[in-house]
Amino acid sequence: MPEPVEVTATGQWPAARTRAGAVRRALSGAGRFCRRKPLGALGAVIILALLLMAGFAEWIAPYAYDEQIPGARLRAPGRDFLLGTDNISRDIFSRIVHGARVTVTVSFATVFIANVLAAAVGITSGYFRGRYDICVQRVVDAWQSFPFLIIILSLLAVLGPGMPNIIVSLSILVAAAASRVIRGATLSVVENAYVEAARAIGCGHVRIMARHILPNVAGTIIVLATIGLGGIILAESALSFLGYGVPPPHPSWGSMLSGSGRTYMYSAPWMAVWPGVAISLVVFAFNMLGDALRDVLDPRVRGSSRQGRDI
Amino acid sequence: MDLTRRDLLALGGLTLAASAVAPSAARATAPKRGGEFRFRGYTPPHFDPHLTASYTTMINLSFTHSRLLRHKAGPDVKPGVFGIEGDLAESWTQPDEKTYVFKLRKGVRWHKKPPVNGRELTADDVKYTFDRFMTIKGNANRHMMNALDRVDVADKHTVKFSLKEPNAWFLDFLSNPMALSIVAREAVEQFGDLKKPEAVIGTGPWVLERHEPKVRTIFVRHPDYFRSGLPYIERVEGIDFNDPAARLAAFVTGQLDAGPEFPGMMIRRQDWKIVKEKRPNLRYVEFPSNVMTHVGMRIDKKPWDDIRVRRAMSMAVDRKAILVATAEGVGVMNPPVPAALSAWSIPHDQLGEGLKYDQYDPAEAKRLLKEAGLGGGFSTTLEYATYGSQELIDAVQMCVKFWKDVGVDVKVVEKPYAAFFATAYQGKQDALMMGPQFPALDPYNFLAQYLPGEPKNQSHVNDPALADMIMNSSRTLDDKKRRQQIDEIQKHIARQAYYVRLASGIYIAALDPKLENFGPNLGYDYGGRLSAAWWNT
Amino acid sequence: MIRKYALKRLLVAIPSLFIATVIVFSLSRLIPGDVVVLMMEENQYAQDLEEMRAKLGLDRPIHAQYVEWMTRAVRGDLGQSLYTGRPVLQELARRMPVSLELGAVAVVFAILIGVPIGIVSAVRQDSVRDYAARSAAILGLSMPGFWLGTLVVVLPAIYFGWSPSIEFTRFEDDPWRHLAQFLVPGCLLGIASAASIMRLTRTQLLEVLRMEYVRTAWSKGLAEHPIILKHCLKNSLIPVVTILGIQIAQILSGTVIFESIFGLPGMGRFLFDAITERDYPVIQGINLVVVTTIVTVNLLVDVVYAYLDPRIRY
Repeated sequence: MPEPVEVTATGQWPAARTRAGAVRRALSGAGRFCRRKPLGALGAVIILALLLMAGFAEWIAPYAYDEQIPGARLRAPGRDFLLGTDNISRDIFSRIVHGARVTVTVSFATVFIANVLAAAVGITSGYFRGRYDICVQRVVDAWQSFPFLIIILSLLAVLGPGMPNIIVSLSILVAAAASRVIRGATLSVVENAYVEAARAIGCGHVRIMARHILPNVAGTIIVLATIGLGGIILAESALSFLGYGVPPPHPSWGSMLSGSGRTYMYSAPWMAVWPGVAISLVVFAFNMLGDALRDVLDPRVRGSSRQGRDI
Repeated sequence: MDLTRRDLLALGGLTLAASAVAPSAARATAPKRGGEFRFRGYTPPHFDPHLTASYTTMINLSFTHSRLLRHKAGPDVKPGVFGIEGDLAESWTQPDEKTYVFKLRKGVRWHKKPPVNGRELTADDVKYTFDRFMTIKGNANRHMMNALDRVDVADKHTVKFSLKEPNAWFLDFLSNPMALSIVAREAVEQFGDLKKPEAVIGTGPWVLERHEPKVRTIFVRHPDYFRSGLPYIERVEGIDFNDPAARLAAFVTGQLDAGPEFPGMMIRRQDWKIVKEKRPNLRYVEFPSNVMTHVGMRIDKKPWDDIRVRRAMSMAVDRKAILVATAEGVGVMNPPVPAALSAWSIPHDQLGEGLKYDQYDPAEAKRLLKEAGLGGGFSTTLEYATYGSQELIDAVQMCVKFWKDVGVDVKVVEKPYAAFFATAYQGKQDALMMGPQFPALDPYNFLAQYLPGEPKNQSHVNDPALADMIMNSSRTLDDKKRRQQIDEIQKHIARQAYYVRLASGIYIAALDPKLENFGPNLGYDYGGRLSAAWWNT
Repeated sequence: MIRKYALKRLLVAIPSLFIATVIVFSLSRLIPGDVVVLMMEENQYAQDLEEMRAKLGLDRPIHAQYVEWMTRAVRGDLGQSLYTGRPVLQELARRMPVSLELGAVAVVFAILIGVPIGIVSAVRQDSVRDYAARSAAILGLSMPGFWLGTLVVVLPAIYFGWSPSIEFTRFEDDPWRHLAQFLVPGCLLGIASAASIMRLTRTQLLEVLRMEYVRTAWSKGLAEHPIILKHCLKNSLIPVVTILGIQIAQILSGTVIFESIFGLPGMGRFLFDAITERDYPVIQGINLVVVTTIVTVNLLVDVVYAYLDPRIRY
């Protein structure tokens, strides 16, 4: 709910006061969240770290992702190189930091496209119902019947590899699953009296959906997106393993782990361990945060954890 | 042997164990029949050698089929050398430059499988095979017999091959374990083609017993094999296995008798330490790989038509650093004919003027670029396919970095294997292409990529003088003279810097020491090399 | 009543299946033109472009081609593999059982792992045990499957000199070994699904635990374990059955990876090889068979579910 702006007669700066108030409220909210959902809070911290790494990779990483450091080949983790170096004498910590950017790009782009698509389909479907709904739901059913890796590989076989194609084909699949949940949420919102009221005073369909339904299903969408992000990171790494991941020179965690990581598995295990840890931590974080947000924001989707699992 | 040792790069104290080449696995025991040999096998698309260029088919047929000639094998053969000896042919003569007459062995029996049922092989079978090879639609290897005009049956055990023009490589092609297996007419007529496992009927040392796609292929001893007493090993099992990490685990835990990597019996260098630790008693043989990766440049386009730009591209690349990163620093520098083919490759340090363009000199590279008017740097693209090889991916990334260091900004375009093969591998790239070359066993295949019109001419070399030299050498039947010509050809190519040739790694063959009378080598003739080996158990 | 519901559910499934077949069918229509040329030139699937297009059915109008494709599919003719030249159905018939076995083992493990953790987590809600159990389950889900598989193959090889057999054993050769080889990959594949079964068991059980009759039983002083088992599990397991229907899709996805690492000649690996070889009839055939299987399984699950719990018939 938007906070009403305080009108003040005491001469204090209202903007400052409200801002300070908002900060205080946000902080106490965050504090409450941490106390009640410690695992979710841990997830949030990890994700914050991921975003910082992605945003400030150049500042955080001591080396460029492709810099070959003379005389530092296959160094084990230690004082000089926090996470060791790889077979091309590149600093693994720096590559993981830069890899966060690929991870964030792929997963957030996919989730964004998917959820915009899903919201459009789900809300209209739940709002209009009737024949339109039935038709749309059959298409969604059909998409959901494909095992994701099988249909994605088939799509990439036709479209060719590359980051844009990965994002597009993942989005379509995620969208199908998410739209189903959003439709469910819409169906229960539509029942509310205020939607009836809006309709009675002659609001257009678009306005009702945008002003009255969307804000009320936003919680659902946020939860779906959070859990979905973890699934997409796993999907990207599975595609890397099969040779359809994000191509070099961009370091992606999936290809670091499945490519050179597995090649040097026996002689330099740290090359695989760190990207593996990075993937697991972030996926874990998205899942935990998603679970916690679900409890807080949206009791409706508690049972149907379909979305996060399909990927 | 000397040649390899001289060219080995000993870096950072990694002195080479390559002196282990030519194992003196003395024949300690008498030959013994029996036992099973388990190696990492391959599932072919099908078994018809005339309808595919896939090495997976050829490897399987090397156990079951014979050729007219074959490469000498055994513990005394130095890997990389391919002496020719008779297989089905007992002897041969060359009455004139364009004619070969082969005397076939008598009493050679086909496998006892319907519809051939163990009848005797005759000259008609040889003629039938070559006629089919030349005329069947869709034979990707047909070019191997381009020089052949016709095959005639002189009598039941004599065949005459007539050539269109003299070809010094003709016998090498005949003994190549690619595609030239002798097949039976009845099998083709019965099954329509030879694609089915039932149609795998040859005269080779083992008989195909069972084929489960993507699982295993089992061969059992051919009791009527024409080399009497051979083979010693009763049963051969090729286990098809995809995942490299799991393959190595299987080898380390003793589920395979020989190293699981291409081209047979190898292990990857980065795994050597763990393999030595876990299977300390193995016998190791090291020899250079004939897989040469190079960078092709569109010489028909700017700026690659400028020899200074090509030389700069070559000098910008630190080949030793790539070897260190991808092969623990162990490898050989490649003249235009890869060092692995030691009978034909010129020693790298004798390349003369061209030698310096293979050496890392970024300052000189920058100077050359400036001289060519590209001092400010430029951008270009490089097309490649991963071939599923991390080593190649790493090499590409390192090259890009080296070029960036001298001001050339190379954008990498990764293509799916099939797309790469149909475009960049055939010289249809935009600017640069990078990839391993076909691991041929004869030098001609490597020289062909300098001939105008050849699909493998990825750099679009159009050098009439060079083409003349190459064609001339193919017509020179005298080995010594031909070797001199090929030395000159290699020097010429190196001066021109037509391709950026990278170094090759040194293979490590890892074998159970109880396998006696066996020597590993390059090429797909797994069966031929194993046919006289036995288990000392 | 149940028959009416089943019929209704079937009527809903048919259009979905139809749309799914259209999606599968469109795959070969999406192949870019230059790739068709590649298939002819590089893979040598045909002598000329005409023949290649005819083999892919691109030479006829799209609706006619769909009708023909479907008619043949219904009769059990999925076309021929371009790569091996053998009928797709024949190839699938050999490989599908391997994947289904692997999937079945995975489902068993998913339940064996997911349900107990879900129960502990619900009964001891927000305790340390709840957090630990859930973290463990989610952590299992957070590891990329191929990485888990690699560790299981490589680590014992290094430390104990043992690794799973790389040789696939057929049932007729040695039934026990045949089944045993699915245990390790099946367990790993089940771990990912276990997490969502755990989640669902937990939420369902939490709801049931709050219900009146459970509290009554509790207040009557019945021992804790019998209450949970008798009253709650029965009610909360029904939705678990439903999610298993959904998990089939997830599990079949995993076969692509685990069959490759553990050398199982199933459908997942077949698909991957087909993609490498651009063998589009095989890709289509696999997708068609898989999607039909999943739609059917979901239909059955829904009907069984409705039979067990009459409330949900709508």
